[in-house]
Amino acid sequence: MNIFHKIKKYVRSSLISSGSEMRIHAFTLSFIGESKEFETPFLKDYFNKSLTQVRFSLLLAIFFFGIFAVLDAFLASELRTTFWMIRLIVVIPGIALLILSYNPGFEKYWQVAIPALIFFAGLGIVYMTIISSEGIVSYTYYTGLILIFIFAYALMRVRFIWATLACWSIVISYEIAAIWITDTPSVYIISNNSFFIAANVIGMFVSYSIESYLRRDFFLARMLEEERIKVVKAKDELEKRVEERTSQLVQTNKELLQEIETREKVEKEQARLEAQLYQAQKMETIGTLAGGIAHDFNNILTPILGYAEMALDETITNSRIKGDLEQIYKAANRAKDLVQQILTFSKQHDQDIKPIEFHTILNEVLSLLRASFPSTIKIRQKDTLAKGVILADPTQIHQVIMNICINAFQSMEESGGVLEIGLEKIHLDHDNAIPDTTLTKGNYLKLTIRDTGMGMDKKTRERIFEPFFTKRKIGEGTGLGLSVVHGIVTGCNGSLTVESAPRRGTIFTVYFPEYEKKISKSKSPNGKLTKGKEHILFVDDDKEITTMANQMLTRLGYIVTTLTNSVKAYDIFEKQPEKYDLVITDQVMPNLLGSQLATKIRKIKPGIKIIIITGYSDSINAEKIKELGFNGFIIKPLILRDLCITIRNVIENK
Amino acid sequence: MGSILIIEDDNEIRNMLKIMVQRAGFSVQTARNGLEGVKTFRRAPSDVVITDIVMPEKEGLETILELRENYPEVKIIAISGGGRHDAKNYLQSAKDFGADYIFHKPFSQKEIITAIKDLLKD
Repeated sequence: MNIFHKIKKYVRSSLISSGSEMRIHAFTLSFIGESKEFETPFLKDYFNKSLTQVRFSLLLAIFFFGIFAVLDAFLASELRTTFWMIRLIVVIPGIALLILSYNPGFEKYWQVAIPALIFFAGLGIVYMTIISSEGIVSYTYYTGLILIFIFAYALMRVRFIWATLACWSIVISYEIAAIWITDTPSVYIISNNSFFIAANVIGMFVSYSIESYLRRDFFLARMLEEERIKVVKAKDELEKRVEERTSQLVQTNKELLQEIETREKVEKEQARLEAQLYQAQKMETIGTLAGGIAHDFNNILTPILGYAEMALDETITNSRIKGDLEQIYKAANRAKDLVQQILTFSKQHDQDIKPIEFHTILNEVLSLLRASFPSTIKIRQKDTLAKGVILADPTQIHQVIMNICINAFQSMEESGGVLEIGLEKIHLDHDNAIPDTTLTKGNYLKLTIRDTGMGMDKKTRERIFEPFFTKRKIGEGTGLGLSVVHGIVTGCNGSLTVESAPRRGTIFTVYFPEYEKKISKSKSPNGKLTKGKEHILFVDDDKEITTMANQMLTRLGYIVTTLTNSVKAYDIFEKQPEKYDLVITDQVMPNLLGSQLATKIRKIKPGIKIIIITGYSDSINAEKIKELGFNGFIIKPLILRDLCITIRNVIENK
Repeated sequence: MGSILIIEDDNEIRNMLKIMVQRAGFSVQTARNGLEGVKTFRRAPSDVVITDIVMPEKEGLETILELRENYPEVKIIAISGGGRHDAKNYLQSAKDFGADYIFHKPFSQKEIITAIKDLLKD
C-alpha cells in the first residue's frame, strides 16, 4: 500500500464519523466523486487564506535569492556579473508577482505562476552550477536547490501537485546538465541526487499532508456549516411550527371562550324562560284556584247578603241593630266586588270584547286622574299619543290603566313626583322580540307608564302580579290591582313588563296587539248557542243523558239519533254510515268502549267527526284522545252548554 | 198567591230563598237537585220554579229543558254563582233554554221577589 493510500485512508477514517465521506484524488488531492462540489470553493478559500503567507514567502525568497549575490562576489568573483544577471532575471519576476498578488486576477494564475517562478529559480541555480563547472560553487550551490524545495513545498502554498511537478523538473534539469553538459564527477552526482531526492520526498510528504489536512479542515468546516444550516433551518421550522401551533391554540382558546360565552348565554336564556314559564304556571294555578274560590264565595255571600237584606226589612228604622245590619250588608257587598275582581284576574269574567280606540280610553282615564291626583304629582304626556285600535273590553282597559296609575300614585303619595304616560305604535318583526314577554311578531300598541316614586326591589318586582301580593298595610288594599291588570292584558293576548329599582321609580310597559279586522267570531262561550242541522249519533249508556241531549240538540236544530248500547250503535252506523256527520260517545260503556267504537266507526267512514265524553278519572285523557285522532272531548259532569260549543267547534273545525 | 219550587243544592241558599219567598207570601216547595225538583214538580206543579244551574244529579239547564218540554206554561228563574265557566255563561244558556229571569249569585231579595211577582202577574 502506498503512502497516498495510507494518508487517504487516515483522512477518510477520520471523516467517517461525520456521517458523510470526503473523497479526494490520491495524487492530485482534488475533491472527487460526491465531494467534487467542494473543489471550487476550496480553491477560493485556499487562495484567500494563503495570500498573506504567499506574499511574505515571496518577499523572503526575493530577499534570500538577492542576498546570496554577496556570496557570489566572494565565491565566484569572475562570474559574479553573470550570476547577478541570473539573480536579477529571477528576482524581477518575483517582485512582479508580489506586485501582481495585489491584483484581483492573481487568484486565477497564482498556482501556475509561482511554480513557474520556482522552476526558473531552480533553473537559475542549476545554470550557475553549470557555468562554474569547477570549484566551490559547482559543488556547493546545489544546496540552494534545497532551499527552493523548502519554499516550494512548505512556504509558497503551492498545491502538492504543482510543487511536485516544479521541483522534480528542477531535479531533472540538474541531471541533464550534470550528466550531459558538464562532466561532474559521478560521486557528486550520486551524492547530490541523494540529497535532492530525499529533500523532494520529504517536501512532497510535507506538502501532501498540509494540503490534505487543509482540505479535510475545509471539508469539515463545510459539513459543520451544512449541519449548522440544517440546525438553523430545523430551528426555524420548529419555531414556525411552534408559532403555528401557538396561533392554533390561541384560536382554539378563543373559540372555546366564545363557546363558553354562548353556552352561558343560552343557559341564562333558558333559566330566564324557565323562570318565565314557572311564573306563568304559577299565575295560571293561582288564577284557577282564585276562580274556584270565587264561585264558592258567591255561594257563601248569597245567604249573608240575603239574610242581611231580609233582617234589614224586619228592623225598625234608626235602631242600633239596623245600623249593624247595614254594616254587614255593606261589607258583604264589598266582598261581592272583590269576587268580581278575582274573576277578572282569573279570566273567567264575562267580557264585552270589541274593537276599541285605545287612546280614547287613555284620554278618559287621564282626565279622571288629573282631577283626582294631588298637585304634588304632575301628570305628563310623552309625545303625542298614537292612535290605534285594539280588541278588548273597554271597562277592562280602563281598569288596566287606572290600576297601574293608582299603583304609581301610591308610590309617589308621600314625596310627590311625575307620572309620565306614553302611547306608541310598534312593529315586532320576529317572535319573542321583547325580553320577558311571549309576544309574537306583529303590530302592537305600546303603553308606558312611568313614575318617579319609591320603586321596588327585584324580589317585589317578581311578585307584584301575584294576586293578594301587596306592600301596603293590611286593610289598605286588596293586593289585587296589578294581578287584575296582568289577567286582563294576557287575556287580550298582550304582555306587560316592569322595570324598577328602589328609589328610582317604576316603568310599566304594556303591549296590546293592534286590531287588524281579521279576528274570527269570538270564541267566548258568551252569547247565544249556535244552531246546527247536522246529523248526530249520540251514544251513552245513561238513558237520562241521552234523553236530555236529544231534547236539547233537537231544539238547536240538529237531527239526533241516541243509543244506550255501543255495540248496537256500531251496527246502526254500519248500515248507513253516510247519514251521520258526527258521533258523540261516552267512553266508559259495557262491551265496547267509546274509543273502541269510535275507532271502528272511523274504519267505515274515516273522515267522520268524533267527540268523546270522559270522566276525570277515566283512563283516557285529552292527550290520548288527540293521539287517537278524535276531534274533541267533553269532561263530565256534562254541561249542556259545553257540549253545544264543542259540537260547533268540531263541526266548524276550530 | 202563587206557589214556588226552589231547586238548589246549597242548603243555606235554599233555606234563605225559602224564607225570602215565604215572607213575601208565597207557598214554597224545595228540592236539592234537578232530579228531585222534576219529581216534586210532577207530583205538585208550582207556578214558578227557581233553579240553580250547577248541581249534582241533574243540572239546572237540563232541568229547565225538561220542564219546558213537558210544562210549557211554567215560569222559570235561574240563579248561578258560576262553575267551570263564569255564572253569566250558564245564565245565558238558561235563558236560551227558556228561563224567564236569570240572577247572578249573590242576588238581592228585592230582585228575586220583584221577578216572582212580575212572573205571576201574567
